[in-house]
Amino acid sequence: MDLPVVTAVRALRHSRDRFGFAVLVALGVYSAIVLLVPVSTRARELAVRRFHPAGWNFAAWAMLQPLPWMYNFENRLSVTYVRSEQRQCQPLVEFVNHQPYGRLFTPHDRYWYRECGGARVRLSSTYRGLTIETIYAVEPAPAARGLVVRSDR
Amino acid sequence: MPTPLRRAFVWLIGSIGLARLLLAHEYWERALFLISIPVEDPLFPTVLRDPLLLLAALAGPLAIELLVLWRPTVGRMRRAAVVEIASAAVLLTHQAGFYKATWIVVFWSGWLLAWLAWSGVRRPALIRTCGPFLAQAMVAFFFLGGAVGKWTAGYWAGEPFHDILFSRHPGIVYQHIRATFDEAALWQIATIYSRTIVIFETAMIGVLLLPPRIASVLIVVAGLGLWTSSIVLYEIVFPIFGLAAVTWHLSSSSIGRHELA
Repeated sequence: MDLPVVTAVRALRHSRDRFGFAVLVALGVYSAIVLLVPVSTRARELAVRRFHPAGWNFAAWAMLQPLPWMYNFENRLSVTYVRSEQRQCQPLVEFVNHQPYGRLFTPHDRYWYRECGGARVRLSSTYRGLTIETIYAVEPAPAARGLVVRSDR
Repeated sequence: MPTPLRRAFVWLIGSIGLARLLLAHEYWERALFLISIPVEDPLFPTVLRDPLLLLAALAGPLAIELLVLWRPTVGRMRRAAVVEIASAAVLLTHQAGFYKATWIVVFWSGWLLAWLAWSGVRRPALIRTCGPFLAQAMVAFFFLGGAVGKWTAGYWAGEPFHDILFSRHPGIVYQHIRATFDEAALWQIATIYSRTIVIFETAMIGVLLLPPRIASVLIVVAGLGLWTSSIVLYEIVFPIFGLAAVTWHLSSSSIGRHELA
């Protein structure tokens, strides 16, 4: 008995369904990238670094977004607020499930970054011997109500 | 159009629409914060920090989803598939949405919807041979991504889940667990839980190789299992249920006998 993938590819080829082939190839390419992550240093670096995308070419980062990344890697967040009088402005150290860069933008985090006068945010992701760490300064935007994020090395 | 194809399409788009509807409140809040506290950062272009674009990408597809649910014509199905892909692509790259995994599932499901609406309609003979496989391949792909990212010493020890779920998750079940067990027991629970997730997600990659009907049931069971860890995971579980429905309906034995005659 043939594997389902063999049956499907044979049927697509027989019917000359290029669209079906394209979808299958795209799935195959993205799956191959995921499978390479544990065994290839370059794939691992790529996969972990896309969680720290400041300084990336936006298009390159966006191309990797369809890779499934649910609860991927060991991501840690460490926040030191500029003003620490309020309880919510105390230093914070915790795990983040995925996409640690997202913790610069959630409504809750935006609010407290502003209320606490800005913050220094350290993000790190670890995967099988590789650790990527990035540090950001979140500052009140000059002459505006918002915030500015910049890499702070 | 074969009935199983129509049913598969309606189930998948309905499940995405339901998740979208339930996320509306959260995205409204995100949009308000984009307005009240805009954040300028080195990655996102200005357009992808726009609150109106965020709301349009989230809520815009609801209209075509409802039209398809009401009367799924080929034209509507094709337009809906394109809209789903575009919406998910925007939400996956928007500053206020890129960190939500829902849109990965919706993005790939959109391509399946497009395949059904074009290739499935034009070549009904393909529906049964390729349709369930494509849906199963996508589910296997999502679990592959989840599993590979957890093949680490930390997840095997249960460290991230201990912190995220058992130390500070506000859910009532986790609060009860915290109140019932001491720290040593919590660590043991977190380790067992984490290892179970790692093994379960790794095993789910094999859904690719199963007969469609069995795979469909297993995907639903797996989705329910995921849902028990956090009630808000409906946002990812509902579209996965939709993919299970596609697998189920497209493996219908009626395709190729009555409807293609």
